[in-house]
Amino acid sequence: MPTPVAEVRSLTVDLPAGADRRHAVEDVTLSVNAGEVLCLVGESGSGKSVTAQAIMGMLPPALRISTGEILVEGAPLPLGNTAEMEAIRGARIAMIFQEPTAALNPIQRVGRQVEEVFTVHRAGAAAGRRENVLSLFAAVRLPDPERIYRAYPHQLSGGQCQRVVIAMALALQPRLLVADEPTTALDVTTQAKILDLINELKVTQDAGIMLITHDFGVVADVGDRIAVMRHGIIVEHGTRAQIFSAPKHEYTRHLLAAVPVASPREHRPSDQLPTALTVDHVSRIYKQRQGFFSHREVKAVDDISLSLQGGRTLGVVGESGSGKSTLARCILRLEPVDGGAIRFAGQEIASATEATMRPLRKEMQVVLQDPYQALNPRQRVGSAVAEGPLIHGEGAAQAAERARHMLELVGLSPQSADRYPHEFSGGQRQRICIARALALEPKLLIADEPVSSLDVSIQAQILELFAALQKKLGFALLFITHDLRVAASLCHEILVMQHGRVVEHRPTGDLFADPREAYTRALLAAAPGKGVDFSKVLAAVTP
Amino acid sequence: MIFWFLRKILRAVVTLWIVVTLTFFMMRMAGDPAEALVPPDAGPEVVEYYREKWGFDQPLSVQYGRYFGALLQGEAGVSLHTGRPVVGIVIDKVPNTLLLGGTALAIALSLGISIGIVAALRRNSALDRAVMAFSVFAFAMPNFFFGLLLILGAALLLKIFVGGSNAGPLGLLMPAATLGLAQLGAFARFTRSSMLETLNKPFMMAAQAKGVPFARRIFRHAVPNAAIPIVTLIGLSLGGLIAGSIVTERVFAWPGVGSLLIRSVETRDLATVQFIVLLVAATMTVANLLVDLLYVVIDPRIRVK
Amino acid sequence: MMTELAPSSSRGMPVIVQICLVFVVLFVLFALFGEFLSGHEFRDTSLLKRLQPPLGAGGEAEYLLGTDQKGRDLLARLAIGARISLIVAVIGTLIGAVFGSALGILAAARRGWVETIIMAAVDVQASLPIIVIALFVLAIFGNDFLLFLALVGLFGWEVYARLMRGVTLSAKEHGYALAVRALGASPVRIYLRHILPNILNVLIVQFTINLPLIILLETALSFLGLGIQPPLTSLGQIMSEGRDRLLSAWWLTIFPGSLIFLVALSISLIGDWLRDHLDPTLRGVAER
Repeated sequence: MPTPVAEVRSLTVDLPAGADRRHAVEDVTLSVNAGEVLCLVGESGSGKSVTAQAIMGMLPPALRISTGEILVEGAPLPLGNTAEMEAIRGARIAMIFQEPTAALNPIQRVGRQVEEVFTVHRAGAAAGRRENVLSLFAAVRLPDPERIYRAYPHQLSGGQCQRVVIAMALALQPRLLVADEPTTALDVTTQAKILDLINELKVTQDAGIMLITHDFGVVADVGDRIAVMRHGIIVEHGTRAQIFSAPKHEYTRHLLAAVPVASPREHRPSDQLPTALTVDHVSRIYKQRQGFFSHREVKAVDDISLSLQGGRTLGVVGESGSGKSTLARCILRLEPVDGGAIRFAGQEIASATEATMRPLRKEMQVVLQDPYQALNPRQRVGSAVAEGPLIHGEGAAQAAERARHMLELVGLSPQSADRYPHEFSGGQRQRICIARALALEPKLLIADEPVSSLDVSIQAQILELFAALQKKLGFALLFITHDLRVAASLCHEILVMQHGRVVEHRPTGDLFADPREAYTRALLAAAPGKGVDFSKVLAAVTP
Repeated sequence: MIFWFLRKILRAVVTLWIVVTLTFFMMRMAGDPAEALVPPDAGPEVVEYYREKWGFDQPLSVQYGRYFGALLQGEAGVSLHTGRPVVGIVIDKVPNTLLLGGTALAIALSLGISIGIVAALRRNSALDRAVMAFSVFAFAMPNFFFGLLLILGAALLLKIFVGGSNAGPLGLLMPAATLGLAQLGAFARFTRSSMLETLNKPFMMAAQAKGVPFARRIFRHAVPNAAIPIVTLIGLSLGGLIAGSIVTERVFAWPGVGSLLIRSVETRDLATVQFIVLLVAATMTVANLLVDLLYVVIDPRIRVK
Repeated sequence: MMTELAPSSSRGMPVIVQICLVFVVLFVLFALFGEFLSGHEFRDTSLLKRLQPPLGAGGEAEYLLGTDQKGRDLLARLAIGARISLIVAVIGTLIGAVFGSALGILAAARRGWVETIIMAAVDVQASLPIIVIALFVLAIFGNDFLLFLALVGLFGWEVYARLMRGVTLSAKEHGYALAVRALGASPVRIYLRHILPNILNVLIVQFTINLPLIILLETALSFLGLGIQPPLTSLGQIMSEGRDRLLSAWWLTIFPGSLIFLVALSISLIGDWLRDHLDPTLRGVAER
């Protein structure tokens, strides 16, 4: 039995009076051993981040530890003593953050920021500190440490910033490393590399790592032991093998079942509906001012062609900056098109004016990424859903009736029509947005990252809703996502984009079975959770 | 980066050119400039003499060209009262105004920023509330009223009458306080909100997580970041200072450009008024360019763009 | 995540804001009906009653707040002065708000050269304090009430223009405005039904910031003798006339000055409360 480097013993943190529950975390007991990764898994509001903040002694002032203690190497943390905690933080316990770029001081060179750890802890001779930083940068696999040392955060990519933050955390070889959603803000290929680094550090650093995440894929990649949290309580705690092969708690099973499985949707050569959309060599060029008179052209969308039939789903998959959202806005003609043709509903729309587009918009609808911004906060939900039919000439009473029907169709009560958007959760709001889009009975629905801001279990429900509605209503669906697993579970075909160009465009099954391009293979390999066969897990957990 | 700054300079030049052109044509819209520039009791032959002498008989475009050319050589006509060149008259008063404005800005900056920082660090304390109350007070207090109150207070309590030639430290301090009051309140309030915003940034939490002590977190990380938007406010506050100095100089009979401007407006000494307007526009435009440069120095994110 | 856990607080109106509201209402009533409190006409001179101190400082009940150097009743003059100051401030603020917002929204809606010209005008305006422009124009064209009103109305338009341009751009480029546009809504519908109602808060708050500033501008110009001209009067003008007798007839300075200060203070405190209350996410949308 290895001795734990850190232990949390029956920790309870109170919420301020008036919150929706009494405790942010309640009676949490955990331990982390040297050389292992403990994954703390939960959805938003589960209390997992509060637990991390409590361990660091950095709880927001409104939260207070009522009972419990935290031990590092057997000694309780002096949580009340500011000076002693400052000496411990960064030296014996360290932390890495969700937004790596924001975690660095924007106006200080990153090398100096790492060096500051040595300075404030008076570690080593001042003369050797620069060398220490450079070797740390090498240890976290940053290329060209000298250049990185002199760089400002905004000059580095998100992945590089996260490596800098990790270097900062490792500087004084802490015994416990707390990582709060360290890869959530990163692209999937970058995420895979950072997770590789974490697996490597687990061996080389002899530290215990506590990794907080909402993503069971990440857990599958790095977790040795797993604690599942919900509403501030640890509902299940076990080894990797126990959790993945025999999850006991219902909520764990629920979370596991919600993980999108990278297994292709069955390819049914059903009745051939007519082609809804043809995109032919479409380009969109952004001009960046470079000097007084010169511009640099950035091809956000570069010569893309695709076609889509009614009742079918095409997934457009790419990392941030790949041009996938720009492509969607071009097709919707919410953005000008700089070249090529788009045929929709028998018309060429690439050069259509806003006025000629307006009647066509009835046939093509969109669901946006952020359901919190996509609804007018001052408009009742029913009125929002009815607005499209009203614009396109339906009578008021009929439109209101249709809105209630649509709300029912997306799984909300018809009474929701009289309420305002802020009364709904994120998942419910996305349902409202889907109802609004489908109220017009469009031939084409474009969904731009519709589930990426939602919790995993909600994500699964919304994906199911898309599939069910498509079966019922027969619209063509263009589904934009950064997550291959999500695309696989929903789409008949997948188009992989990078730097504005098509990398590979094939039926989902073929693409997964035999990816032809290196970038597609890299994306597939980077998808978290490849170590665990979730379809088997799924079979095990669904009775 | 260089292009970015060149573009800023170009914009400033265009702005100044528009101001020069607007003032020129507005002057001409007022009616016959020769009549306006000559004392009202002068006979028609005198008007005619000056019309020819100053070229007002020429087409407007020629006049505009000449005016522009003269400006570039540092000439802006003569005052109708003294007959002296306007540029000289105005420049003579500039040091006095700079002394007053500089003192006011120094007071406002040093005091405003420090109490703003302290208020942010002691958020919701009595001190914080006092600072906020003071900043609202400073915002709402008309500077001419505040100046008069100071004069009244000094006269009643110290038996000193402050104003005009009355020198001594109070003679500078009282008008400077009057002028700086509104800016002081604005700086305090803005510094406080900028600091509060910075204190909530993730990198402040990261600094705490690596064991950086409180004082170092504040002075090495929070203050330099919070200072960036404050630099903008310095540029903006210049307009307030110039506007305020006109009133303040009047209240305290301070012999500066503001007093000169009021007197010139009262006597319709248009050449002087026009030149002061151009001087103010030039000062503010140049100051805003300097603020942009200062930005580049303190914010590396702009440097690379 | 913390926002979900945080208690939802619904604060009522603080006492200080209530006091401010009451004061503003009283000020408006005073401006409208104050002259009836006094038995005198604000222009009536009485050489026998020159420079009477207020009641309680050696004065008599007939002239509650004393008289000025021409023996005119200060209470009646304050009421009329308050009325003129209030009218100028409200109309001036409205002109600036409507004109500036329209230009700002136009710049954001049209982009291109329209935006370039509007933003160049904003630059020019920002390079000159309004008081300097006002002095220049008044020097050229002489004093005239309507011209003065127009000049005061010019105040702050560039702030509204910048603010509205920023808000409109951000509203236009993402979120529900985009979704509604995708529904096929016309620009008129998008702006009137979706964007304007949601930026109204920003406008109201800016209005409460500008109103006291305009009161201060008008009173300052009048104090300098370059604003409201006799036979009309304004609070600043009364102070201007009383300035030479600061020590002997303090009431001519203290009463109008306090009135200006208190009303500006009240409006800005109400504005502060509105800003916190209406929209906590408002900060930061205006710049750049």
